[in-house]
Amino acid sequence: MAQHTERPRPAQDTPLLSVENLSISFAHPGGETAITRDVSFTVAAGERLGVVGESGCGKSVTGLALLGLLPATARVRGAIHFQGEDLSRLPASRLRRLRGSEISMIFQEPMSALDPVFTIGEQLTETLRSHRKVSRKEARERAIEALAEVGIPSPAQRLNDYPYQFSGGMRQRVMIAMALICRPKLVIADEPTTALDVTVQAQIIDLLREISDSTGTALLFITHDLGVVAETCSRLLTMYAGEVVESAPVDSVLYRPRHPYSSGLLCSLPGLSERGQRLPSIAGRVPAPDRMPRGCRFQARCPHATEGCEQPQPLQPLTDHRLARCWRSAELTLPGAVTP
Amino acid sequence: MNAPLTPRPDSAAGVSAHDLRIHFATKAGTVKAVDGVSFEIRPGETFGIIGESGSGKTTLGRALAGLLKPSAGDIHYGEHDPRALSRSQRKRLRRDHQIIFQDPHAALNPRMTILQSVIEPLDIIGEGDRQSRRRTAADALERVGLPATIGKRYPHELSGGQKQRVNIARTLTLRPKFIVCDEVVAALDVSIRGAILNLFADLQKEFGITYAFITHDISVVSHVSDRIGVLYLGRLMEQGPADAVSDRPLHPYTQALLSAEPLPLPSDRRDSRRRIRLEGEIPSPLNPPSGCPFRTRCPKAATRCAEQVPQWRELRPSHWVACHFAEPDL
Repeated sequence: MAQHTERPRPAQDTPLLSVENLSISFAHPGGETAITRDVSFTVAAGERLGVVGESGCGKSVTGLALLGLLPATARVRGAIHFQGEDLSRLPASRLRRLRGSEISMIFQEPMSALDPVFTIGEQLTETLRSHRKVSRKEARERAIEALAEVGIPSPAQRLNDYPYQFSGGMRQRVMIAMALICRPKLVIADEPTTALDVTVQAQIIDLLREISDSTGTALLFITHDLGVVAETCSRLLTMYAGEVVESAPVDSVLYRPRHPYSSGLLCSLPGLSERGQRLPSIAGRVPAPDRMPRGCRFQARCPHATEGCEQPQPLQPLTDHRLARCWRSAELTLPGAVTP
Repeated sequence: MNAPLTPRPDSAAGVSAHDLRIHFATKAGTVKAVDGVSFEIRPGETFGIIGESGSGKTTLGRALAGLLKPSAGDIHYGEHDPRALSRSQRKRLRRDHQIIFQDPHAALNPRMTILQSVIEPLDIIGEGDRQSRRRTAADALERVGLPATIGKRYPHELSGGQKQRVNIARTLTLRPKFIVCDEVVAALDVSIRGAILNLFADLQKEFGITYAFITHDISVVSHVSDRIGVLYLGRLMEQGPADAVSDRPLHPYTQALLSAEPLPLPSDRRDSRRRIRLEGEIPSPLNPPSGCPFRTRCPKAATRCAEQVPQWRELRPSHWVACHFAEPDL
């Protein structure tokens, strides 16, 4: 997993973000609960990586850990290399300079992520002025540009409005404007469209994709919705019970997933089944952190589990830049979203 | 004494709404949450109601379940008009139409065991004795696929899917004829939605239950429904058989909804012209547009749409639409 750090590579091959063996646990009076284990992945400059999995699989915690936003009870092991620096070892002051400027985040609920007592303009210019040396006047102009860029009508007037005066979709646009105002290299978007209506979700997905294309901003897209991933991302990371179980180009997973969990998620989408037919689902639930099996964490829910699955499963490299945490990966033909 | 969980003899019953209006007076003016909606849900069918937030779908669902009094128009359950009944007759009718909510956790009392929660509806209607109520509740839990041991547990010990099964079980104890399902799978992980939707289908087959299935998720609604009504700003835009509405929609709004659905398709299977991009969001129901409520976001809107409310027309057999420009062979 961490082999690529063993020898230096040409500069253009160095990923923008490289996460190595990230294990997160939370301390509590009775001990420590492990939430993720040895999560490793990379994001190249300008790349859009989707992270999927059920609730409780460690997606959001991983996103928050990248920015150092976990509560004080969290213990983070492993390395997070961003443009050559290990974020997990940076002093708080340096991390604060990176947050919002080089890496920024978009959350699911824009209303709780915006401050209700400041105008949108104040919040946008605050972000810009805390990272860049610009005058008030210039900051205001840049804020107007940022609002225009995300498709907010009459941006100069809207600058003086408070969050409550915006609709849900417009608020999410403001969040995106704020995340992008310093032209970050990486945006972490945690379920950015889940709280929105489907017609508004489509607008926001298009917007994120267009902005990422035109500015070269990389996107780490955390979502439970494989349809959203298919429309935005080029690569997919499937997480289960705190581990990466599959990593592959989006198109190849949609045709042929190599981990039974990815396949199960795809088959569960109601849009893919014939009307009136029984819908597939994944029986059972994600095991509790303190009851993780020693071997494959998915075995209790896996229709392909056999003898051998009780052994610990390493993330194995396959052809086509793919990885899967399943020893039966090569012999199984798993259904995807479409038949090849 | 009633035998536990057998279909009642006169089980299937349809529900119909006629020119239903539900208005709320607010400081800022009148919100017309539901504004002149008529439809008929046939006995034993699933009628899907789809709409975005602010379309009035939840208000409509609450009215169908009898939790809200319509401002005008009426709702009939089979041949019964609740307003023509006495208080006690109404109370007896009440058990026949139930509702299941979106948030399975909020719907359960955290201080009651699962079994207590499932028995509660029977305590309220006062059916049977203690013993038979327990038996009915245990039966219902088993019927929704939960182990009997779960009765002693508390809501916080259960997963979201298990809690939604409990909510279905407690509704089932009353053996209702009609259930309003308000976004019943929206709060659940995609991986288990299928199992819950299958359960609804099984119960319908076994008990002849009629469903109003309310959701914003067009892939869910088109999968489970026999017929679908599309709601926008408190009015029906389109209504018809599920396959016709989802495969050959007549209304520009339905077409946009369908095309906005993110599809898990590889890039070489995508039709790039597919998406109809709607501008803006659903307007405030305090101040709905004149004429056709959808015209402010409609790609086909013309001056006529602002002046005239489109007629409710049957363009194809049993397929109705409210749009000046809709044509049958689209």
